[in-house]
Amino acid sequence: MEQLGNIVSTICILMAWSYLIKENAFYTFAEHLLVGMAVGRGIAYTIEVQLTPRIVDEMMGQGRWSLLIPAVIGCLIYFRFAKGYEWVSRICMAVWIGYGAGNALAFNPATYMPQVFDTFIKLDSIDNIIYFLIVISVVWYFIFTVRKDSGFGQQFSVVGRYALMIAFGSAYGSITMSYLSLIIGQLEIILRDTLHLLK
Amino acid sequence: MDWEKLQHIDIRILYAIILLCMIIPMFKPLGMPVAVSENTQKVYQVIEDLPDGSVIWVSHDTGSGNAPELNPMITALARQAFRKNCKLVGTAFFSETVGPTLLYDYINEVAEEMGKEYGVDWVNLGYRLNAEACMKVMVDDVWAGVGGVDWSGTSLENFPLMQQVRSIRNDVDLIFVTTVGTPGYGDWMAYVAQPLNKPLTGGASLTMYSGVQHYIRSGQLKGFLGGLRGAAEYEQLVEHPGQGLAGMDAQSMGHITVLVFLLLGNIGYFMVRGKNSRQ
Repeated sequence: MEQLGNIVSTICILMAWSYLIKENAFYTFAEHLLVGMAVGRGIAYTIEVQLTPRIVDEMMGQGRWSLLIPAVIGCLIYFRFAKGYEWVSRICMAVWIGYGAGNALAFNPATYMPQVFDTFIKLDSIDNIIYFLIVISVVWYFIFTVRKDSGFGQQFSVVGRYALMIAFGSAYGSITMSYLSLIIGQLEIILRDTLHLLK
Repeated sequence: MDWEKLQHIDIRILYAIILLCMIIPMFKPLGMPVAVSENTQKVYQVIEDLPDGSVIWVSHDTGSGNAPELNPMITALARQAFRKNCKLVGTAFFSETVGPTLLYDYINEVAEEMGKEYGVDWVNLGYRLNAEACMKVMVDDVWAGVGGVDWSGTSLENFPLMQQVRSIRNDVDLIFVTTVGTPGYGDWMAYVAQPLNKPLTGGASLTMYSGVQHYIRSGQLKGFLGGLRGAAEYEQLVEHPGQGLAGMDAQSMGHITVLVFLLLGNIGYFMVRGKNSRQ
């Protein structure tokens, strides 16, 4: 059974990779298969692990009927399909956005403030000096209310721009490395698990 | 030489060459050295410093795309944790299908090998909708956060480990998160680790790794593993080579090939530009 799974994986990988030659029916089939399976499993998982425990155990078993309130608010989103009553679905979105905004304001500073504090460092090493200067230059680059047409202000802004470009380059390099790792994972399924060519 | 050609190589030829360069070392390993970085050492050490029998919360927040990079991290973590008789409680918030299944498979493989029992030494709680709300509830009541069942819908009443783990606040000693996006380490940091002052570590896909550096620097992350390379380094520290180390030769060859093509492309570009300006 495990070998059958590996063979199916290999066929799907090869169908997906066939896109590199050109778009074709095999690739489209693999794409639809993935989406269909993910959605199907997602629905089954949601019913089994999310809905059943909440409804059967918590609401009906423990009498936590207050859970009906968020459930009803959530269901309002389906009013998008009721002609003339689309506005009702906005209640659901309003609750969601209000919750999200409040949540972000309450919790995000706890994450970002240590970053700010970390820039208050002793300038006693090359690393710290570079770090400090880069932070200041990038912040300066993003201050658009001050004219930076010439002089030191312009030069310092350029330093900030170069720092950003180096950061983007580093991120892009990491992405390339990451994609190669993914190829290795697929090759292992084909060569080791399915064809048994690798130990 | 026609430098113009260097910039217009058929992309399919490049794909084929990169693939070939990656396959060859898989058959004939080159044994390229893998030096352990400071960040990986920190991850290993923060787990090693935990008292034996501690509870580690592991969240495999990955999808299918980046799983090959992150799976070896879970294996190595399970190996280190079980060796110290630590308990593992797992979740997976990024994907409701891939994460929980992989988390189960990879921990289970190590658990069976090391004689650890599901429900006693580790539990997989799986995926839940609305990660941030679930995390916040689990801070004080893990059972309520996950609706009282594990990833397969089995009641937590059946698991001795879950009698011990009632809240993250009081019963969890460290959080280990693999991450490819949101939800990921950012949510765990904002809603759990920072408010509770719990050590947070783990690993990220390389696509995200440059973005976590400042969190490591500020101490909000106690080290972090970077992609397959980080996993390979961690496997070295755990002294059990696995998928991470096995893939490193292929990855290194892939990098070298990409670098060579980048260089050739740029040489071609500058030569053509020089030729045009002379004309």
